[in-house]
Amino acid sequence: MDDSRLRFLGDGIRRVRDARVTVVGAGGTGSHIVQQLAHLGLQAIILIDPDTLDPSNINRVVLSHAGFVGKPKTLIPTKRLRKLNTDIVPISESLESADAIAALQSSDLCFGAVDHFGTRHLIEYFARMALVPVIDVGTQIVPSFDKGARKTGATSAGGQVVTSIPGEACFWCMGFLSDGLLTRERTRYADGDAQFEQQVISMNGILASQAVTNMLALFAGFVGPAGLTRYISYNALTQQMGAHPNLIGLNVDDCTHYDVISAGWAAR
Amino acid sequence: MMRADLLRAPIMGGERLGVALSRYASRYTQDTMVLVQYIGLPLTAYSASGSAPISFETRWLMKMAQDAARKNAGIFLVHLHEHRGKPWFSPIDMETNRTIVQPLALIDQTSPTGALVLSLDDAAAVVGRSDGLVAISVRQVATT
Repeated sequence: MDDSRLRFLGDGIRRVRDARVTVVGAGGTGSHIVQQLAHLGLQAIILIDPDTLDPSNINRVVLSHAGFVGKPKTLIPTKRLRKLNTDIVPISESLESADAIAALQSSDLCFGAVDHFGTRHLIEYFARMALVPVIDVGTQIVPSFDKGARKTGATSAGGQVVTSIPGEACFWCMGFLSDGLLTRERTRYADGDAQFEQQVISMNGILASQAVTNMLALFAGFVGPAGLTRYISYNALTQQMGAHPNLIGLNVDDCTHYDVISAGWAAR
Repeated sequence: MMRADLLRAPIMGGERLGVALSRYASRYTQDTMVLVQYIGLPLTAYSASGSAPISFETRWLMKMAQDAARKNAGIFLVHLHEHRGKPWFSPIDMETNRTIVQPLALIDQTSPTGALVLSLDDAAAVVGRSDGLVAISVRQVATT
């Protein structure tokens, strides 16, 4: 691979390529992330997603086409990016399967590219046990309706990139996760209210790209003197990206929910 | 933090030592271990006798292993070689690993027990298994 345009990363590019990275979610954002990791030349990418491709996914799952409908989403980049010489290991199982947990916990970093906050909690929980950093990406579009109940626009549209580093502020510390949020989500899904959530490939791409850039910050030190912003929020309607207000007054160097000393599996 | 402690002035002309508490990542992931806490050996743990550059009271290490077990953890014996690049255990280190670390690993196999050697910018480790010491790769968690 010709790295003449990556010289600004110095030796960091070697650390990036040596890393074993897990991506949970092979959908709208996860597919962008895997594509970028493969182009960066990562040697080992593990992709976890139990879902198969639905025709409604094709407008946002990068590299997908009608020929993949009904097939595991994890197979799409595995087949389409083969010539980039990256070893993409597909795990077409739930995150709670033994194979998925083992893969995540033996990684140097995990990307969360999932829809549910409950799954985000699980990713961080398993990752913190093994002291694995997590970069989570998510987008939300709240549609507005006209009198005929047709969707005509959005009252809000955006998303976030949240970085969780063992020993430092977690999703809960940053107010990204809360008991109330998880309870509301369970209620919404039980009511069948969460179907047909809105997504668009362009917003997914912006946030996935920021997530991969955060990885470069962690592995290659590609970050300014102020350090990595742990909770980045994006507003697509005002075209602005910046630090989430929850970070104001928060000591990101500490975590009150996951103690490093308690990490790992207590077998007894 | 480990390097900063181990780089302090030598004790009795020998290398400083520490212990890192260790656990398997999960019941599914016993190939991955985490080091969760570092404890430098206190002055009283070092011994003036012995011919090896690393001289310490093994009963002190036994005590640390017992304390770790109470925290559902094993221990990794840690020391530092003051150079850059990939470190490895010296013949004397390996003798210590075979005669002290490996037997400790066999006493309690519910948590990993091994030895970690740091250089100024890298690390290497062995873990005790029932059939001997096995080299494992070491990764430092990304930091900001």
